[in-house]
Amino acid sequence: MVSRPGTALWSIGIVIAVLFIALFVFIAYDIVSKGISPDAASKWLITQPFVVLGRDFWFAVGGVLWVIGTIVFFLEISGRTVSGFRIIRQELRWDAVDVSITALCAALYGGALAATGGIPIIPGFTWVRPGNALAPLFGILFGVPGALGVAIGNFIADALTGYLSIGSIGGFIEAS
Amino acid sequence: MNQYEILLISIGLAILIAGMVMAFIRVRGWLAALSVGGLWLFGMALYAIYKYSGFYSPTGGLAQSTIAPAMTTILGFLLFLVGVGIFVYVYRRIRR
Repeated sequence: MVSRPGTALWSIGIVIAVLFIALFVFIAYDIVSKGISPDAASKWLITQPFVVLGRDFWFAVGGVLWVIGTIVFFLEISGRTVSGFRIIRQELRWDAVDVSITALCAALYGGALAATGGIPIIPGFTWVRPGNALAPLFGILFGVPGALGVAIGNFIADALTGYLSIGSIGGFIEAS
Repeated sequence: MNQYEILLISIGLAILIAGMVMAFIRVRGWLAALSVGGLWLFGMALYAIYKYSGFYSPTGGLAQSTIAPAMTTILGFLLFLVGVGIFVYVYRRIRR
């Protein structure tokens, strides 16, 4: 019997999901076994790429990604998008409904980030931020107005949580 | 105000003024530019209120000894409720 492509894709997806969960369990075990204090962070397996390659390397990687993200950001808000290997025009009305969607996404995302912004897993190192899950959701549901709303929401959340700085411009682009 | 704060306020003002100019010469997207500029400056206003109230910690983040964390949670929920309100408004408008 020949299996359908859908079944094969599901099988590959499940294998990847199981491997992903196993990786997270192993990382959690590694962190607990080496100590969960911020001082022990440099010994964890998950932090090794940052420890070995250094801050400058990751700043350079971040810089390149930021430039690409900025180009895509301005491309999208100017009414163009990438389809295949071509840049094509897309219809953006920017009427009252689109602007309302931008405002609602900004309020929901900014509010959710600020209200749920401080649930620490490892104090001083990492937090649970459930509000972040809304960013891709708004982008998928509402398109460019939703993405722009998320960017503004991120900016407002930075102000409310004490992290508004020159880096918030990068956060604005990255969030959208 | 330091140079970075001036830069951030300037960006918000520039987007707002660009929106006004676009509205004047009737270019599509003026409403979006106006709202983005307005919301950017709203974020800067929140920053100014927090800064001059002494809510920010010198090492970054909020000063835990003040009412800032509780206030941020309350403001966050209020902002979230405003978002839900706008969602209901937009949903009704689209259905009509």
